[in-house]
Amino acid sequence: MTRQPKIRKAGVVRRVLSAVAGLSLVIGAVAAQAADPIKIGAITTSTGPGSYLGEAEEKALKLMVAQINKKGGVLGREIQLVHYDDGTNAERARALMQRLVTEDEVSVVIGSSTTPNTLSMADVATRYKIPLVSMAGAKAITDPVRPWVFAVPENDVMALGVMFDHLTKHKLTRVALLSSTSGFGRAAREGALELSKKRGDISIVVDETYAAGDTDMSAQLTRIRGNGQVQAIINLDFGNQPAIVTRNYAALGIKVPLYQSHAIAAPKYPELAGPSSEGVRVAVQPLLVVEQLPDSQPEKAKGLEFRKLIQERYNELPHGFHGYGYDALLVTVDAISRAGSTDKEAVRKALEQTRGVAGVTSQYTFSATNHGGVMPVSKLRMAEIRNKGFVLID
Amino acid sequence: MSDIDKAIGMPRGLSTAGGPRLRLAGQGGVLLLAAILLLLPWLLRSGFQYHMAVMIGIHAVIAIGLNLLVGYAGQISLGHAGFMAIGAYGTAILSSRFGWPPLLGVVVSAAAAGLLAFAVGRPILRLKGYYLAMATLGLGMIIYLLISNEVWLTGGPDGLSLPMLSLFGQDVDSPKVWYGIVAVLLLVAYWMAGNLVNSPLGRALRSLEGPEALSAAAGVDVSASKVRIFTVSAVVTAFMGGIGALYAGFISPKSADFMQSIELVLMVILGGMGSIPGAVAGAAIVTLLPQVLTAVEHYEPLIYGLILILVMVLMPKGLVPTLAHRLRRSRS
Repeated sequence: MTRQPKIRKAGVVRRVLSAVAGLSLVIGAVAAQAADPIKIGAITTSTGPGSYLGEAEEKALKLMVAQINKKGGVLGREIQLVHYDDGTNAERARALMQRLVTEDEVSVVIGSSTTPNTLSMADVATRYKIPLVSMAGAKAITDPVRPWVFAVPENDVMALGVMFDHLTKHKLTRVALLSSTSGFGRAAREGALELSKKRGDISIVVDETYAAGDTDMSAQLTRIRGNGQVQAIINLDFGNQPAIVTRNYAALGIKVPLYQSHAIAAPKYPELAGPSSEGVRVAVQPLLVVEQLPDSQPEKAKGLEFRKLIQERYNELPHGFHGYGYDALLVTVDAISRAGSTDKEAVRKALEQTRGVAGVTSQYTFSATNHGGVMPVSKLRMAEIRNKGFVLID
Repeated sequence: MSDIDKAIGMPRGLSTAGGPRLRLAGQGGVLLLAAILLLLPWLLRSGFQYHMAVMIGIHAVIAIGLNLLVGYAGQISLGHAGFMAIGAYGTAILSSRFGWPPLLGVVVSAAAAGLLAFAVGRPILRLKGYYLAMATLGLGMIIYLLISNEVWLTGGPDGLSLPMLSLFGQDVDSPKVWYGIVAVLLLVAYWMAGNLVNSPLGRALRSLEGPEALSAAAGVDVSASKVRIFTVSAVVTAFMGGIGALYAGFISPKSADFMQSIELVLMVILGGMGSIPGAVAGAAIVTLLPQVLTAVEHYEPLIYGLILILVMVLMPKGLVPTLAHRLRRSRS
């Protein structure tokens, strides 16, 4: 007696399943009659130390692909995003890139979030001749130009320029450099030393470094404090360590202002650093302070619209890295629609002919000699942290 | 092993009664593996699947080498990624910065790793258990730190690109050719490991797992045997590190970090300590699992860990020995 209902239940389940299977077959046949989807590959750094970059980019990519598909897709075809997470591991990024190219057979790849991961993927892109649009910010990605590799963010040297301009404007010309020896910090340090030599208005009087994983930078900051010449401190790093630097800086009662790079410009930073981050100056992408931008800025309207979408879907405020995800997809989709096909060489050519495409972080114009990374004018602005928020400053 | 052997703690290798054992490590095992490797291309469709097969092959050879140390001699090493990195970076630096032929770079780097292992082996291998684990961990860390900080030589955290390998004037580009190369290397490693295990040195090694005094009393030079097998496994690991770097065309310090060492040991333990086919199976699982788990995005580490825990709880001796044991029991 107890058995019978079970059997009947199983029968019902089986019938429902077979009905669903039949239905999906019908739907599948209909969909196949319409055009095949356009496959776009994406690799982001959604876990590991770089997770706050990739997680935001992944959210923006997924959201915007859904939005585009809702409006009818591109070239009358749906976009299918094949997304993987590289876990802040360059070799994994490379294997996943290989997978996207040979197994998933995507037409173009967006990614990854950090420089080493992008560079390891760039080799695969070159070998298999497939366009790659990166969301990482080192100069090395697009200089020298690789035919198949493009980048959306401004490079680290441009970002440093914004900081240097601000320092000069406020007559803080003797600075101390504090950087991480990891990839981004090291590249940015070299960029800063070079830029200071080239410009001549900022002199670096102290040059301190720390290793990735260090949990206390008081020693380096004490040495900086001990140098009477220093008028400002620049910290070049991403991830959690700049928050530690900020806490140490506050604990030591250092009076000169602290400048942080654009790589930490996300709400996570004041959250991690706590009250000690009050008054810290940061180069920020416009999206982070979009409501404070003057109405004349072309990024403002689009940025506000995008912010609403992100807020509705994920219940959080977007920052610059959401913006890079948005813009990378925008530039890619724009190129596919101008190319009129998903032929890889055609898409690559179309990417090179990108002219004045307005995204939420910048406008993009590429050429055969400029694959991104450099803009005529930097879009980054200086902001100060007040009440845990980013406030634009002069 | 007879009950008497157990009672007096007789080391396995010196045991008089061998007991029934699935002899996959012998000639039959080599033939079976050769057949699998020959038939596999019919199943592999995309370039990515070839890529995974090549990666499994490279890891399998390393696991076979490490298994000699961990599985047979019972000596733990948490620093083998360091040797892998010596092979990879040695090959990369010699070929891309000094223009050496890549294969010569691989051989020289493997020899260098062997020299290092030989030099540090004697003091390190005097330690036992946790202490040995710590010492080898330290060795791996030093190599990792050197690679990530000597930017002028290694490219630091941004990694280093390698030139393409060319054989007989032809660029080796296709994953299929690489599959062939790695398949041959795997067969050779499998066959040699099988021979080594059944040689006097192999029997001496197996005795090391038990009480050392007993091995010494049986005429085994304990210290020399340990150093010898440590060196052999380092050379194998570094050699495959170099081959792997040539295949990938790019290396970063990530390949030398602690987690990589753990993964290598995991291959041996998961597949089955002291089992050569186990090392191959372990390498296949550890290499494939993260790729299979991309389907459950964001829960990946959780499920990965869960699978490993379950295998270790349900099959403490490792996959292959446990399955072989069950097979035998169901037969008899």
